Order: sequence, then C-alpha cells, then structure tokens
Amino acid sequence: MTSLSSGVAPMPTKAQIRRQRNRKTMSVLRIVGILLITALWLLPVLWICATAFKSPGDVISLDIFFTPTLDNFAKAVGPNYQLGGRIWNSIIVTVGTLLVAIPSSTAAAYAFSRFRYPGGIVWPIGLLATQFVPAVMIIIPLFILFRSIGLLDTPIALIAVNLSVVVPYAIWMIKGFMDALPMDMEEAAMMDGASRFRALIDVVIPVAMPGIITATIFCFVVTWNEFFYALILTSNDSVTLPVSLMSARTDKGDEWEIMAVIGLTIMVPMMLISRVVQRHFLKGLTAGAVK
Amino acid sequence: MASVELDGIGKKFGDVVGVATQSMTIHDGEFMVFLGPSGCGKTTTMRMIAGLLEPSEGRVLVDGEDVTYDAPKDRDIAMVFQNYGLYPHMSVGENIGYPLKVRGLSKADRKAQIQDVAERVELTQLLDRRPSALSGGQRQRVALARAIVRRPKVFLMDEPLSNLDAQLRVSMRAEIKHLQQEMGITTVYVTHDQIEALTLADRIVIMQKGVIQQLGTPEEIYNTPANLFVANFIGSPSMNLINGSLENGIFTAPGGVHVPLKDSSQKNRANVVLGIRPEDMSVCDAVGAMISGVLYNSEMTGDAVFATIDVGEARVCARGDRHLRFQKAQKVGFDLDLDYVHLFDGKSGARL
Ligand SMILES: Nc1ncnc2c1ncn2[C@@H]1O[C@H](COP(=O)(O)OP(=O)(O)OP(=O)(O)O)[C@@H](O)[C@H]1O
Ligand SMILES: [Mg+2]
Repeated sequence: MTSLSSGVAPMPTKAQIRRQRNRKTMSVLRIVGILLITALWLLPVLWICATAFKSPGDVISLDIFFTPTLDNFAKAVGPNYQLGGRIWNSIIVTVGTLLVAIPSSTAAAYAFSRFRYPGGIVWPIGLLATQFVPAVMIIIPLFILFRSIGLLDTPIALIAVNLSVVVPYAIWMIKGFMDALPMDMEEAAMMDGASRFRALIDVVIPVAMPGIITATIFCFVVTWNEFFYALILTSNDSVTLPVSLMSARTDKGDEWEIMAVIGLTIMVPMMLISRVVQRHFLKGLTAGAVK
Repeated sequence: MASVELDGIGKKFGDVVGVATQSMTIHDGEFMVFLGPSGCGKTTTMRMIAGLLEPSEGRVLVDGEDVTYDAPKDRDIAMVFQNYGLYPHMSVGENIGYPLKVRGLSKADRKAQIQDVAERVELTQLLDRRPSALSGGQRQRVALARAIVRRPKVFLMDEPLSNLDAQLRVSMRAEIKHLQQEMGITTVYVTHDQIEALTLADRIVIMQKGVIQQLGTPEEIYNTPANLFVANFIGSPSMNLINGSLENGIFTAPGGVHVPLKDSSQKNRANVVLGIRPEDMSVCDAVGAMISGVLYNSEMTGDAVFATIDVGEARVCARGDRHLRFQKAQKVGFDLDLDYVHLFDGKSGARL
C-alpha cells in the first residue's frame, strides 16, 4: 500500500467514479427488483392475512384501512365450521403419514441403495411408476374399496392413500442421498462390532439426516395440503383443513373471511416448520461434510 | 492374538477374477504385508478376511475356526480403511470409543480406555473435535486408535498411509510398526509401496492379477525373487534383466555379454533371463568386462552414481561410487557380483 505511506489516498479518476456510481445503481436496482418479486409473492399472502381479520363488510371493499376483528376466528371454530376438529384431523393424518412414511422409506432406500437383488433398478423404478397413474383414475376404485372395508371418512383411509403418494418419492430422495455416502463408514461400523442394523442406526441415518429431513419436509407439505383424495374419501368426521375450505362456500355466497382464516391455519404451520427445519437442515449439511 | 488361514480362497466378480484360488497362513502375531500393483486383488483378499466380502470359494479360518460366513462383527477383527471411514457426526473421542460402545461398555470404562489409547497415538488434545477439523495425519491416527482400542484378534490395514505426505508417512510407518510389536497383534497390511512393505513386514505376499507370486520374508523376496515379476517389481531402480542363453555354465547375450556363472551345473538353455541388481555390479574398464557398452545416461543421486549403458538391445544400469564421472558416449564396463546373479526361465519366468 503506497498510499498508506504517503498518507494521502489517490484521487479517484472520473472513470472510477462512474464505475462506482454504476455499481451503486446496479445494487439499488437489484434490491428494488428483489422487493418487487417478493411483494408479488407475498401480496396474496398478506391479503389473506388481512382478510382473516376483516368484518364481512370490509372484505369486498378495496380499502387498505379497516378495523380488525377476531369475529371470524370465533366463527370458524364454532359449530358451523369446526376448525378445531379439522386441524386435529389434519394433524392426525399428517403425523400418521410421516410416522409410517419416513422410517419405512429410509429402510427401503437403504436396501435399494446397498443390496444387490434380482431385478435391480426395476423395483425402485416400478415404485415410482405407480405415480404415473392419475389420481382421478383410481379415486373411484379407492372409494369403493374403502367403503367396502368400512374405512370411508376415517383418518386411516387418508393415511393409506397419502402413503401411496408420498413413499415412492421419499424413497427416491433418500436413496439418492445414501447412494452418495461412501461405504467406508458403515463398513467401519460393522468392523467395529455393529450389526448391519446397528450401523444403519448409528452411522448411516445420522449422516443421511439432511436427505431424510428434506424428504420429511416434502412429505409434510404434500400430505398437509392434500385435497383431492380427502375431498372424495371424507364427508364429516375426518375432513381435513384443505377440504374444509370448501365449507365456506355456502348457498348464501362465499364467505371469504372464513376461507382466509382457514387458509391462514393451513399456511402458518408450514411456514413455522420449514423455518425450524431449515436451521436443522443446514446444521445437518455441515455435519455430514467430511470425506 | 490369532492366526489367520486362507484355504483355497477365491473371488469372482461375474466373469472378472478378483482373486484366483489362493491359500496362505498368517501366523500369530505376524506382520504380513500384501504387496502388488493396482488391481491385483489385495483389497479383495483383505475384505474377505474382514467378512465384508463373501468369497466365491474356499474358507477363512481364524485360530483354526471357520469364519467364512460369519458377519464382520463376530470375527473380532479391526480394520483401518484407506479413507479412514471416520464417523463425521461423532467427536474424535466418540469415534475411538464406538467399538466399546457397541460392546456395551459403560461410559466411565469407555472414557478411561479412550484416554489410554489417545495417549498412545497422541490425540489427547483433540478428543472433542469433529473429524472434519483434523488434518490427514490426525484422522489417520484416529482410525488407528479406533482399531486398537479393543485389542482385536487381527488387525487389517488397507493402504493406511497412502493419503499422507512423504514425511508423515515415514513417521506413521514407524508408529504402526512400534504399536504392532508392542501389542503383538496379528496384522495384515496392504500397500503398493515396496519400501513400506520391506520395512514393515515380517513376511510379504506379492500378488499379481489375483495370484500369489511369492510369499516370504523381505530378505527372501529381495535376494531370491521367485520369478521375473517379483524380480522386476521389487527394487528401485529395478533389477536389470538381460535375455540370453546358457551354455556350459556361461551366460551369453547379444552385445558381448559374457557371464561365467558360479553354479556351473545349470543345464544348457536357449531362452534364459539373467537378473542382476544395480548395486551388485561394479563399474570397471570396458575391456574384458562381463558386460560392456556405450554410456546412455548417468545420474548422480547424492550417495551414488547410477550409470546406464546400452548392451545389445538391453539397457543395463549399475550403481557406482559417488565420485565416478563419465564422458558422453564413453565405453563403460560392468563386472557382476556372481553371488547375486539370478536366472529365470525366459518362457515361464520362473526362477532357475
Ligand atoms: N465390486 C467389484 N466388481 C467388479 N470387479 C471388482 C470389484 N471389486 C474389485 N474388482 C476387481 O477385482 C480386481 C482386484 O481388485 P482389488 O480392489 O482387490 O485390487 P487392489 O489390489 O486392492 O488394487 P489397488 O492397489 O488399486 O487398491 C480388480 O481387477 C478389480 O477391478
Ligand atoms: Mg485396494
């Protein structure tokens, strides 16, 4: 640094100034751009949030200012909409699905990733191929099936259907992650005295955790938002949140403020969970980074 | 403490022969080194001993007991992997203690033993770190510590030093040898570095293309190579090999090579390869030398000068005094120390 010894910083040239100004304009433009896109994404969300606190009269007005009220929430949990029960149903279906899907997908992914067996790649591909069948094609048979075994309008039916959707994807996601893990670690565990199962629990799963968590988020979002199967397979007792949105469409017209309340209930847990999980996820990523 | 016996063991991967049917016995407390070029089946053999790979044929016996189909965990064999195979989500201490944890030792007992082993390999300061925060040499020591913490019957190491720099390799080599002698654990060590093999081994197995070429002490391997492959593979610079013929106890080859053998009882043969190491020759006057030719190249390595001459179609290299100097295209002669002349069959490569 020659300028340090002389004590005088060299005067910036005109070109430098121009370049600096250009850079400043660029970064301002970028921030504006980001804000615009964010606003575009967030506007509907904000609108829903606002609507949830509006009185029915304010809903249709375009005024930004209104007196917030909690009436809609009171109405939503009331006997007409039974929001509490719907939340409970959604939780049962989602948690039930995840509890079965994640352990079994992890085990299957490990098997697909590590063992050689006749047929090879055909099996995991076949599993994925089940997803090529459109839901509308199998909903009628499913309806008849569940009716005949008496599982219509139960969480079990929804859990079963959700599993069939979610498990193939989860297996593939986790398998991809496990394929990339070196065999050294689990072989070391087996040499150290662990059974294969113990090596899976102690070494493979902790190291594959980022992949497993990614799959869990994916399954959570799919199950929590699942609408179509729930619409057909439930009627009263087991209605989940997405379907309960429909109940706000009454003969007296659509009750937007109630829909907003339910929409909010659907969105908030997803946002919270992805926030919490994101932090875990990043930690898991760095912990796994050793060759 | 245990002996390991491989009884007619072999491994095929589909049509590829990883290891051809082989037998060998590794004695109790012995340091056995598998040496050979890349792809010769060293790792495959070791993994069959470990139980990580099921042999296509044959048996593995530990202390006379057939363990061919036992799971790795039931063999009480420890292994150090080339890439260390450390558990990234555990601290160094937990890594070392894992074999004890699996065996159900209490936390207090584990701690004492971890401390004990960590002192041995100088890791005490690092026990709380994650493996990702260690240098290569430190990781290597963690892997070593994890293997010895439970005093296994047999120790397997697959190129444990290949990821380290030259200096560290020398010091780790001494450390491994020291540990092994101190603990007296039967050890199988895989490498393709011949210096490592010669310095560490009680006995060496030289393999090529899945077949054992020679099994013997480092002296035997160096001084009486069983065939051309071993002769060529061991030694640096490698042994000079000259194609010629044998008649009345005299070896002759194109270019005026004329070597009267010590052992004149050898039969006359047309296709013979004579082997002689550079250090078993002395540089002399070209006239009347057993081998003579025009200088091709001379190299000063500090403690010696290596002179290479063209002899017929062969190139022969001799180690000479470090003060020797040559002129370009000079005629140079070599005399052979007849005690160290090796003869091989030109066709089969077997030692004569
Ligand atoms: N899983 C496998 N499938 C097919 N062939 C294999 C497999 N593992 C090893 N081989 C083959 O078996 C032979 C021996 O391999 P091995 O790994 O034992 O060699 P190595 O002596 O350990 O070599 P290196 O010094 O490179 O580690 C090689 O030709 C290799 O290609
Ligand atoms: Mg190898």
